[in-house]
Amino acid sequence: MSEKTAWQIWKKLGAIWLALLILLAITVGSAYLPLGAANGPINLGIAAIKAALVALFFMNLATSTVLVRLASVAGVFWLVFMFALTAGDYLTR
Amino acid sequence: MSEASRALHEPWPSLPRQKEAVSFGVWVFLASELLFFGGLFFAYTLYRNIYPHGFVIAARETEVFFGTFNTAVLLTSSLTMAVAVRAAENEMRRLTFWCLVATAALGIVFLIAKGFEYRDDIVNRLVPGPDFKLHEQGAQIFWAFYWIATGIHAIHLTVGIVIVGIVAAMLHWRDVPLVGPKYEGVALYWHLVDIIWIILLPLLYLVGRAT
Amino acid sequence: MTDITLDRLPQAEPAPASYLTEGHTLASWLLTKDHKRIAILYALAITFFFFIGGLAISVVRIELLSPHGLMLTDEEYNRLFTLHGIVMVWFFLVPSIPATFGNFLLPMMIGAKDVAFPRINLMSWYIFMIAGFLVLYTVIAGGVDTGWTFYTPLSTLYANGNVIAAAAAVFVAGFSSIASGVNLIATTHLLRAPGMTWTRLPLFVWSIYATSLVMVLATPVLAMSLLLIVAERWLGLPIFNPTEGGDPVLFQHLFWFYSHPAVYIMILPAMGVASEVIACFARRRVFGYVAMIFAMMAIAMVGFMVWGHHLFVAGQSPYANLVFSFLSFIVAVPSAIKVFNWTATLYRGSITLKAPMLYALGFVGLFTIGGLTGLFLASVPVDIQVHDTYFVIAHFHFIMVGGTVSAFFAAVHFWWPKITGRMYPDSWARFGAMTTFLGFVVTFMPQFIMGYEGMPRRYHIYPEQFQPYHVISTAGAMILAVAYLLPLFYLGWSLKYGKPAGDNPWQATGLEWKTTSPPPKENFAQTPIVTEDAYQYEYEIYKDDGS
Repeated sequence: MSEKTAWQIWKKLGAIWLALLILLAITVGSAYLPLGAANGPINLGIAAIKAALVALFFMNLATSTVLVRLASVAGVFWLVFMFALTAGDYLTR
Repeated sequence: MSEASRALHEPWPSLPRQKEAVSFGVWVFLASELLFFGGLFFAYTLYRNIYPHGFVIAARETEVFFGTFNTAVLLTSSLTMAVAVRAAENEMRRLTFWCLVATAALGIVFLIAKGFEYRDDIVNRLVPGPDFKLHEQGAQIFWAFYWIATGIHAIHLTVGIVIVGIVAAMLHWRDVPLVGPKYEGVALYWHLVDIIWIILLPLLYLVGRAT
Repeated sequence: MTDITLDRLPQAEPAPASYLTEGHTLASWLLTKDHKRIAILYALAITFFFFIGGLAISVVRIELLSPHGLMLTDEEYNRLFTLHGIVMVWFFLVPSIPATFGNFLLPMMIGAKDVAFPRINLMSWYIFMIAGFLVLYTVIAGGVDTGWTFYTPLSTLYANGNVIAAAAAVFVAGFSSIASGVNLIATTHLLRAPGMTWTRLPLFVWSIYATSLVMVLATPVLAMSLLLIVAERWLGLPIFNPTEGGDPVLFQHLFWFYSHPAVYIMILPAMGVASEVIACFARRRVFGYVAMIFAMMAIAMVGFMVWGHHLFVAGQSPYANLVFSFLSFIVAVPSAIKVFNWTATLYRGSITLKAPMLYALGFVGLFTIGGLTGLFLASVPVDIQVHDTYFVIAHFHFIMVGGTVSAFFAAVHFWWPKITGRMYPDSWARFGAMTTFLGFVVTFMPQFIMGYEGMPRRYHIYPEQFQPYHVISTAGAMILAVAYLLPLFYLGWSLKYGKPAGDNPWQATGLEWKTTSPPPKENFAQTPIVTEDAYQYEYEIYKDDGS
């Protein structure tokens, strides 16, 4: 852990925060543009990017051990089973 | 007794190992939280596909101002939380304390705003039941989701605020060591609550705005 | 002064220091952070609930002696079998091996002093007890009649019982599971002694690890499905209500997404116990150690992909039926591999039929029958015939009772000397094991037959042609009841009068046997250093030569 001044801490994390706010503005703004069926995926995609930024830089995944990173994706991976197989039922009825 | 030895608990042989364990343990718990909300998100996805029109009509009734404001509030609280953790790692006692206080305060701001939003929703007859405002198929189901998802999120946030408050209080009045793993552990939970809201924003507030 | 000799028994030696003697107050137990004491707290709780669930089903089995019923109303009957299911699944089977033997033994088996998060361990027990009080409240308030599966829209719209209280009890119990799971996963990853690599771990540790993964990932989905039921029933928020456009089958998807992996939570630890006991009493290493690990992890993973086989007749699409059926056949393969490997472990072993071994062998046989009948159910056409009949009941009881409960008793009899420092009388224990096996087979074999012939499950009043089967089944249940009560007596007796066990009465391998019985609070006088693989039984013959 390198010694940091308060300003360095605020600067590094504040940059991420700024990026998140910009993405927030984009997602809300783009929701009002008539993009048809693309609105939904775009908004979810931006949400995914925001979530990734929070996970990597606020939750320190970028500097965590392999073990911790594996734990972080386990939940997502398992959700895929749920969504894929259940959707498989509903889509083929 | 050094800071490090005060922070060390049985059965851990060393503080770095204990910290890794707390990080790992909290992430495993967060995986369970993801599966918890995942079931709800699946149900939402299903019904949105079955009743696209009903969902659009229903979702237009949510208040984008509150949704956006609250998202900004939570994102900022994540910033202050992350700074608190980094400050603790660098043994900056006052910065840690005030950032924890700010985090909890922003959480309370969120809840207050949510309270006003809920009041508006109730006045606008958006609670599913015989008095419900909309008649399209699927609209009641959307609003059932709204109340359940935001309600559970608010409960999680409240728990987070209480825990952050307790940690801040212990830091100030009981002089607990800064090098322990609890700040990182609490922060991970807080960021998850933020991430859940990040996902809820497009699902609840940004549907059907373009037409 | 002449010496006066008094005839009296020699002074008993003061009990050596162990986790049992560290503090005798109630507070030292209720505020303990020692994983061994917490394991005993859990053991007392689940034993209590086992007898509650057993009492409920005893009344049901007596009621079923007559096709017209004897003493219960339909409503009371429904509430009793529901109580049996809820209590047995969540308040006995799910915590049975992981929270008792997992808690007690896993840290010892890996050479650690305690679990990763001792205070969370204690908290998980308190959460379990709160859930237990909620379920007792549910019973006292009159119970619930939806079956342990809480299907909608009965549970949300039409049922008259205490659905919300029951759902709350199970919801809270789920948190206890998740907390234990997180703890045991972190412990296994991060507290292994020097030299204790992943491939030197006893298979019991692997089984608890796999179980914990399932507990953490599956239980939250149960929590959500119960929460949605409560939201619909209590707050009128439509999710599954068909009149508002909801799909009741969605509940079944969410419920079984948890509840199928839940059955693997119930069987994986039992498989771990079987490996430990069979290896010890055959004096052989477990055949195919690595395959056993892969099999357990495969069961844990593929077990998440088969839940739709509970929905074959619920209106699920035929294509989904196909996929789930196929995956259900696949998930049987790793289980079969394990059965073959246990058998191969016995081959050329030097077998002694002590009580733990009798229970473990019973486990293998009964689990195999249960598993094979699972394949019948995985086949869609057969399932259409036998769904919701006693065939299904017999299938899962063979696995959960013939399987898990047998293994639980094997574990009790195997590790009792370690946990208490006392030996129990083996002849009584063997009699109990054989009585259990007999009682079990008499209870549940007839259920396969009558189920196949069409006897529906959960029916209070039934066609007269099935009465002979029910009478035999009830007779078996009475034998089982005796067999389950018996250990309370001889194990209780052993606590005061049993022979001191010594460190390793079974001459078993494993770190837990290298410390005293009962163990000291920190488990080991010094942190062990591991240099050998597990199950080094076969080198005994060389050791006997004096080398």
